[in-house]
Amino acid sequence: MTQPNDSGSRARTHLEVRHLEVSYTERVQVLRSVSFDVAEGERVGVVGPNGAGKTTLFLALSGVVTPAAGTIRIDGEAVRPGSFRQDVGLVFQNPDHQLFCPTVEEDVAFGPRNLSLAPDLVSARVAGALAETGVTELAERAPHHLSGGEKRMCSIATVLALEPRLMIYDEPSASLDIRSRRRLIQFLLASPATALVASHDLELVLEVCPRTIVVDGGRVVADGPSREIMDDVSLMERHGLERPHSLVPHVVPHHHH
Amino acid sequence: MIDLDRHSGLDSPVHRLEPRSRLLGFAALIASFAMVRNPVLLAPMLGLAAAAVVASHLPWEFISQRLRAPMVLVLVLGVVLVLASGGEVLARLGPLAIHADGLGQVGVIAAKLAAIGAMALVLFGSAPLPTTVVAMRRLGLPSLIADMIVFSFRAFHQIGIDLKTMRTAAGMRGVRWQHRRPGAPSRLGTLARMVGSLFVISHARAEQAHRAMLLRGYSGNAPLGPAEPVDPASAAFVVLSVAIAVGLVVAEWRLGVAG
Amino acid sequence: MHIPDGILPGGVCAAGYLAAGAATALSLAVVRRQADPHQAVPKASTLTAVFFVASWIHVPIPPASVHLVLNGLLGVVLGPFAFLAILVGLFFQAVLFQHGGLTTLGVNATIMGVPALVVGALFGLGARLWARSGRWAAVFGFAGGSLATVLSALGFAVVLVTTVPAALDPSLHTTGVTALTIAHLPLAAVEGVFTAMVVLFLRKVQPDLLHGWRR
Repeated sequence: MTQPNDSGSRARTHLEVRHLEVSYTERVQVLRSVSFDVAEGERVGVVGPNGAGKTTLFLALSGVVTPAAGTIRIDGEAVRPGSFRQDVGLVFQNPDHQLFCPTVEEDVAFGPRNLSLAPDLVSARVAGALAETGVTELAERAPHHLSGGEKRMCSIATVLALEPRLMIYDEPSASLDIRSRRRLIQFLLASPATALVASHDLELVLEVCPRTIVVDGGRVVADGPSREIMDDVSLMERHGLERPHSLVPHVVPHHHH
Repeated sequence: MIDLDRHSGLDSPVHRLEPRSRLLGFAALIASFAMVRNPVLLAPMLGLAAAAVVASHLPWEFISQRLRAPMVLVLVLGVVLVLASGGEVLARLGPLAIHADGLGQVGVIAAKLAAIGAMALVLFGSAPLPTTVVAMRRLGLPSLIADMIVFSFRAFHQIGIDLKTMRTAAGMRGVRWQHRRPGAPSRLGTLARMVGSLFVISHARAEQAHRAMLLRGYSGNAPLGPAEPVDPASAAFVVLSVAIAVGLVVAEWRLGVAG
Repeated sequence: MHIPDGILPGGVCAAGYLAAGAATALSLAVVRRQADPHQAVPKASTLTAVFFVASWIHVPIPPASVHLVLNGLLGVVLGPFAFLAILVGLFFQAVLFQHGGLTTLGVNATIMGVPALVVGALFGLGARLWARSGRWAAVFGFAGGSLATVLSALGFAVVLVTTVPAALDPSLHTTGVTALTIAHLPLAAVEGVFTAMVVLFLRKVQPDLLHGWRR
């Protein structure tokens, strides 16, 4: 199955989600019949209020959480819960959960080493991931004492070292300062991987993702071009969001000078 | 599992007791149960524990589910005792002999475990932990220890989540906890680093929390404020419990001397 | 090495509480002499929580799978706070998980806490050595972790064998104690290795978390 991407040429479907349902025992249905497709190389924003089910969706896509119903296919192959998939990379909301080695270099090498790759291949992967995220000079530092922005890029590097083709980012810009956020945006724009980006930072989503999915109450309530979706004031407000400031028409002066 | 507080909001005679009185009375009874050895006293002991559970309105399932694991442990020990101890042989299973003494002892141990366990669950399940800790402080527990109890209780939940998430994330980077791929990093080493990292991040978090508390006037040794007055029912409970506890101990002593 | 309720005679439980009381008083005295004891409480409490959570980790030691005790590591990181942390940790394990016992809290705390204090003190004394050398840090870490386990196992064995009212012939006591202690040697080795690994990690990443560290 193919879909048009931005440039109009047909790209293969990378991720296919059909009627996905996930329940936890305490709360009954966290995700209700979620369906969407993502094409190769596409970057899709995932927005919605807290508790909408975004993190659960990501855990299901990564095979960590078992769905109650529905299917998830990556490159046409069904995702089996509990089995490790090298081709999906999930960047967790809190970088502390993905950084635990005494040096950044060891953390980035951890993934490739677990795959028993040859030492020179491991080094190559590490160097590549560090370079792509721009943290090569932090290689010998202990990750625990780095700044928020540095930790964020390092945690991304630890996932990149496994060379996944589908990257999922859970609130990547949370608590980042302006420079770090800009570095993250530049990185995302340059990365060739297919990406899902969940964020409350709607401006970031607008800049990085041509397409956005709105998730609320465990359902996909909107799916389309980011500008269109975020410009729809009533849609945004209905789902605990608001129109990003950059889309507010600056016809009538409303800034207090 | 850490939902011991689930039933702490019920309304029952036990829940309505003044906290210090409840603590003292139950402590006296539990201590006396520890002294029981004679099988004759098992029935009154179990009866008292059952009465406490009934009076607290806690569901029996709550008690039985939580006592399951330690009971299994005791049963295992019991098997050893039954086969290894002395006294009259009741039966033979091939080369093994089941001794009367051992059987009797297993019964006593199991009954004591059930009774003490049930009483402890009623005591700590009938009020939120901070309430019980305040009562312990009023009865003499040093404030430093009381603070440690409250702070660590708060920290468990988050740290448990942290460790679980770390292990999930590591699993997503290829760690196989059951069978390590040859050449992959040592699992014990990975766990050691995770525990070390937990120390580092939890410590940073604790420092932040402490700073926030200082800003709100905390300086250790928080004054407790006026205590709830002890109502007549609670006072009567303490007197009665202590009396029963003493009675049990004396009975055990008397039966021990005689037998 | 957690002794559940119901097994020990009441007198032994009382003696355990007395011993634990003494160790608590001693620990409090040492801790209160520190510069700002109440500053240390949040750190000690969070580390207690980490130990509590970490002790759920199962390590396969054939033929079984066991929890790590980590009392040596506690001593190495908390120093004089270690006994208090173990007391609090055991209290929670008994009350929240029915692991160990309430009447046996004193006995269990003494069995696991006193070795932690001993190991912590020795570790602190050796600071000059392990601060300067990774090799010494590994040695002290391994020795601390395994020694704490061996001492606790010894205490556990002595208490069980001599007081459990199984009509065990007194002449068999020494055999029983020896056997039970030897059974814990594999665990002691694993605890030693684990403690050494954590010590090396902390020495590299945040050495001031180790008891006795001075720049």
